[in-house]
Amino acid sequence: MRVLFAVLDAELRQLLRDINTLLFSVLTPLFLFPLMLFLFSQGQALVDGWEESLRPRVIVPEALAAELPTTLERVEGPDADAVVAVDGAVVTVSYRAGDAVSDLARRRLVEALDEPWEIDNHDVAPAKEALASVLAQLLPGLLVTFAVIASMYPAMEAVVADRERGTLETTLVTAAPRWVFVTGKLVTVGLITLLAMAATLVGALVTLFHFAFLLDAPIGLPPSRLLALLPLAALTALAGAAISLVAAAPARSFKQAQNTSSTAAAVVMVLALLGMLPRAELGPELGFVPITNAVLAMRQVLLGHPIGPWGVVAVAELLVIGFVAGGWAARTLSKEELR
Amino acid sequence: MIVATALRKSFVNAEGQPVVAVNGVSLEVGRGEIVGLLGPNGAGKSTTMRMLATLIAPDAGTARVAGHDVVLDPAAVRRGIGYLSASTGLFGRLTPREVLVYIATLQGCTDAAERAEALLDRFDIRRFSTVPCDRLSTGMKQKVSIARAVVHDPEVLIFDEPTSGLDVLVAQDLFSFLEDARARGRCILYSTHIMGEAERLCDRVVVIHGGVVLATGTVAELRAQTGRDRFEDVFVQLVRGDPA
Repeated sequence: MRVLFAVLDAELRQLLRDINTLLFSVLTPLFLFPLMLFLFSQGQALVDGWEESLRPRVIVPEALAAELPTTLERVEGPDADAVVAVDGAVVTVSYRAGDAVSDLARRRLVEALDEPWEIDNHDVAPAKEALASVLAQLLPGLLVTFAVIASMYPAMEAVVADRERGTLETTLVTAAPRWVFVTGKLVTVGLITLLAMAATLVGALVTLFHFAFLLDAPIGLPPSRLLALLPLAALTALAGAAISLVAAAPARSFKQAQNTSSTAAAVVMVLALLGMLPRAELGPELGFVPITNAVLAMRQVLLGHPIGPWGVVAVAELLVIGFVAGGWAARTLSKEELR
Repeated sequence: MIVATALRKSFVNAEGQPVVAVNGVSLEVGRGEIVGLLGPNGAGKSTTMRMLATLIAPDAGTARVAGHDVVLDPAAVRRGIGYLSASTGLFGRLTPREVLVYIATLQGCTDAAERAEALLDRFDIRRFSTVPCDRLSTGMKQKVSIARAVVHDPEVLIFDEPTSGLDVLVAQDLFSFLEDARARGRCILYSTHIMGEAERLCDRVVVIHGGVVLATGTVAELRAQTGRDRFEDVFVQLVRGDPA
């Protein structure tokens, strides 16, 4: 055990001192969602400000002129941004869809002319329920996606870069058995992956809390559900690490490892996205699909529902993936013969 | 301490053709002896040393290193050897102290920290002991590599071109370390391209070419055998087969 801990310690030090690992596995998942929210809100504010400063020109028949808001300018002639025609009870607005100003004119016209009915959309769901539902919909897929992306680089670094730099030889020429190195690498990549998932979770929660603050609504997700997510997240991290290791282990160069790892990551991401579809449910249709069922099981946990038998299938599949892929990577590395 | 008999190893080259890298190499290195393994590039020196270090398995032949068979008991062999080659790398983001403690632990030493501290002084690398290895100079890296190879105080040292890229001062430090190790009864197999090193350090040399041992003996014996005075001429004649 002392030797295994030494390998873990050295591998973790190596990886956590690597700027690329920190960037891929910690900083990106931590800051991506808050940054996206910030950029989105800034962009929206910019568009709102720009639209407020505009006064599109429209051609409106005399009968509707009185209903025209002050944000639109009534004009005659060919340079109008939108044209309104009345035929009996039908009001036709002609505009250019690709022209932002023309589209703004249309939106303001529709808003002003939607008499006699004014439709007020009213969501009867409590705000906290809506937020929890959005989180349960998106978070599991994002966790799995980042688990795979975040484990790719550490896996390549721990195996291929180790081989390219000659440090694999340095360790293999010692008396420590090879299974110790393989286990150490697998656990290290698994821990980094778990760290990436935790960073994703923190980033997503910060973003969600910000939304909750803006909407003046509680987040609707008790901490106990997040804690209940941990075992599944840990299993997913281990499976993600094993997949990344098995993709990187046979590669003789970093470039080759990038190709195989990217392909493996793309497959996992597609399966994760499948689980993020609004109508996707943990049942007989998707219950056997690996990764997808794990995403759906996590959704169940976040919604406070039991994972059920299909959730057990998902857990079993994650374990099988972890053991088979990890075992395969171990087999490849233990057969390592250095020229 | 090292007894290799009829070692053979072949690889498959890029064209898919088998290439015999080592073809029946036999050699012996005793306690308190430095034996030089000399040969041009591609002669089979590194492959021979890698087989002795258990990094690759021989196709045929036997070898016992530090009292253990390299095929039957590779872990015991690895416990008894210190191996260093141009391709043995350092962990770039670990400091020299961390590297030494790590490798000593892997070698099963219970006093890893104490050994690391002693070697930091022995190789004069204490000043750089907290600097990541990636930021060290070539010479300093090689000192750390040597310290890494001997951190468990092995009985057998297998050093494959350890002075490549080193300046004279660092090379001198290495020579004095090896002479000291020989005096302490260590068994040393040392490969080099530099004939002056072989003349200075080696008690005997083994000249290898095309995977085959061409000659074995002391520098004086090989001079007498070829009739040449300069050791470079001795080597060239043995490898090319030029008449004296």
